[in-house]
Amino acid sequence: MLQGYRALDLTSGEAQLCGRILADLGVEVIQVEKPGGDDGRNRGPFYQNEIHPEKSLWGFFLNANKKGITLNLDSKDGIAIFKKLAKDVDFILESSPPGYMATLGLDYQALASICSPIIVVSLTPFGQDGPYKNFKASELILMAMGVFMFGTGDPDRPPTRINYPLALISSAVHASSAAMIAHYHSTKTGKGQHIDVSAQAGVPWFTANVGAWWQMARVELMRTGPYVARRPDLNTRFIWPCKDGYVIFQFYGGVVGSRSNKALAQWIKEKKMGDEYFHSIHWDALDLYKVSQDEVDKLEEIAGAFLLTQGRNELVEEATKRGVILGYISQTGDVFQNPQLLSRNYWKNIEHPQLGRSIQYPGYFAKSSRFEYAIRHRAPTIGEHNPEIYAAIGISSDELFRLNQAGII
Amino acid sequence: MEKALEGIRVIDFSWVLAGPTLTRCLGDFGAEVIHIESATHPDVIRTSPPYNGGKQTINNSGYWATYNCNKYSVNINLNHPKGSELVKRLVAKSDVVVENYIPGTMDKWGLGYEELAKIKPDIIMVSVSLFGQDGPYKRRFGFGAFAEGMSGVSNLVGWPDRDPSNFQLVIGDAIVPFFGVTALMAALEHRDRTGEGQWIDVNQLEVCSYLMTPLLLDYSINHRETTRCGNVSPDSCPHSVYPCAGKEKWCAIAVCSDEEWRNLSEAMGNSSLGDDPRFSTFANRKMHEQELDRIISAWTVQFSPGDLMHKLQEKGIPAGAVLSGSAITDDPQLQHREAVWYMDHPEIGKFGYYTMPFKLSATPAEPRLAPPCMGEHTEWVCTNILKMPIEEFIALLNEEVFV
Repeated sequence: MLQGYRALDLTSGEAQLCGRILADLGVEVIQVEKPGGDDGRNRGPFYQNEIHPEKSLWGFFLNANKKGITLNLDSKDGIAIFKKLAKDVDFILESSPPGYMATLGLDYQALASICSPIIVVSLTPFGQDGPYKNFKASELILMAMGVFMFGTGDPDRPPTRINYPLALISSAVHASSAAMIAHYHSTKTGKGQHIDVSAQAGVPWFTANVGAWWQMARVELMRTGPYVARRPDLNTRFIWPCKDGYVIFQFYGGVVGSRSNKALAQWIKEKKMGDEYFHSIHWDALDLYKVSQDEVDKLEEIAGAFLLTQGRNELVEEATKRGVILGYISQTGDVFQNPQLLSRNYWKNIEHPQLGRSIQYPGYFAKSSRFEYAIRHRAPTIGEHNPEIYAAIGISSDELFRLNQAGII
Repeated sequence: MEKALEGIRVIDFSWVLAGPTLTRCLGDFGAEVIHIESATHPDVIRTSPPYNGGKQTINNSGYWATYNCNKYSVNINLNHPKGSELVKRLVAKSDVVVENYIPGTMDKWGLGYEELAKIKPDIIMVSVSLFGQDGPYKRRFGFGAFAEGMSGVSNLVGWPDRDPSNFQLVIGDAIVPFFGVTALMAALEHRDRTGEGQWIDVNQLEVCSYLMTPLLLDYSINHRETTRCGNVSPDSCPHSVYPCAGKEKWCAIAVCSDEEWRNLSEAMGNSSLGDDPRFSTFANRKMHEQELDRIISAWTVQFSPGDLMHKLQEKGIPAGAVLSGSAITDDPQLQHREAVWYMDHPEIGKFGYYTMPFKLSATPAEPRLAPPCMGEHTEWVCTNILKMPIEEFIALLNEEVFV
């Protein structure tokens, strides 16, 4: 694990995940919030649905493994204290609008003159410069402008987002990679640098071959609902309703695919379903790149009727035995019962003394033969580490009290 | 320019999307990535469309190209005993091994972590998989969508009254590699400090579930099941995608405050709408959301998405054109960011390669190599890195080790 490194985290919202990931790796990450707590603490859902700044479940996720202090950066004294804190850190993470840090006198040059080497990571919707740098954004806007939404949703309705802040969350993940690349360089050379992360620019990485289809064939891949566009003139079904939810399956091409298709046909036959046409198909000869939409529709009608007769767990268990390539879509509760996650000791119980209980969390994002980059403790309460952190830069408890009264800390 | 990962040599066994994205990132920042592949069992993405000019060759898939610039390609037949010997010689001179085969595959070739660590004790191996390197599902075949499905992410796309929508896109495949890069950088730092290597196990199921933490806690604590919801938001209204002039032209608008709502009604030239009690507060707007969306749609349909976006952004309203694939090369902001690099390729011509969405001021990512043709660097790597005499190279060539 990383040891002896420290980060000051000024970010808010999903950008806080960058610091969380560094904290998981072992960096001492200090979340700096305004007095009274970051606005993100008002974000639901909440523990037991109680709207309370110490009970945001997003806060539980984004700030676990961090320490927390409060500091008013809109005051001169606050800036002076921040500069003292920044003398002895390796990373500063921030997600303010481009140019805002400079107005505080805390742009990269200023920070680098206080502490060297320093890695400053700036997370913004569009990047630090360019024609849209001052555009207002939200998750919806970024998914639209990142070329994600054009490819998602049903064709007879508008493009659709995912009910999860994927653009902003993935941007924080990208930021953590960038921070660690720069950090590794810094350990070898003693040089710091400034990192400019754009959420919009990150989204196209989810689009796989969309950019290639445009560039090579002037084809704009469109949304297809639960189907996949195999060719511009062929959609095959990918997400299927079953008895109690949804499974993922398609008729595949190639050697592996025809084995899977054949095994499904056999299974359907054993259940005395399907018609003469279906059971007469020569699966090895079926070429998914040449077959017509009509033919595929016929196959899919039979498969669809069969899948509706079975539950998702039965389907996956039996498919695995038979060599049918099929997966299922979990409902949230399924994830806790997932045998794979249970067998890998994925879940960790984390104490929440203020709530008088422990809570089970997803335990880690990666593990290795030496380490588990695991959750170790809950997110800090507002200003929880003020005494410890401020004492270390020589602020006495009397002084801390005064600064607290003055609205600085 | 100085390169962040200068001097780091990576032996890359990756295929499909997740592994190649990871090693692409390493190559972009200056690592020497040597991609081991087989001409007789090529990566399925190398043989996936689109192809330059429409006719498939082993070197002209735009899909494969997107993920594989800044790498060298070496053909090695891993089923030949001399093939795995050759790999071991390369690993002895390397820092990192990356692979994303079904767990157990590297062991089958005698190239599992334990074996490689015997040759190079401080080697760092990153294994990317769907479900992890052990456990009951480790050998389960599948695609990224299966791990996304298992984590529940797939339930969140689409409309509440319809089946989940497939994304023409990938989630786990695109995000897992960056967790891999992050863990790898920590491992390199650890190696330099202690001389110790390690084997990193990062997989889509665990990463997607980690990212789902708030939703999982909401379920376990509040018994609430999060599901797909179209384009609505629990705390913004109006918040949707609105039709614009033309076929498949759309603009997203997300009003996050009463002030933004008043600005929107002004932009619509309809300030009485801003004072309409049905829409005056967030709660009221939410109550009359469908009606509000109808009124806004009737107005937006006269504009192009770009014009509407600029008009609204000028008034401080979050709005964004729903951009299609062409935007990856044409959107002004993405162009400004150099969201693609253009490089020439003998079989592809000029093509734009996605770039990393982060800029490092002192050690920027750089386009150095167009995607390699199959086996393009086999001889160069053998003779320059392994210092193999040409006679030995020819002998191995004749024994079909390089296929």
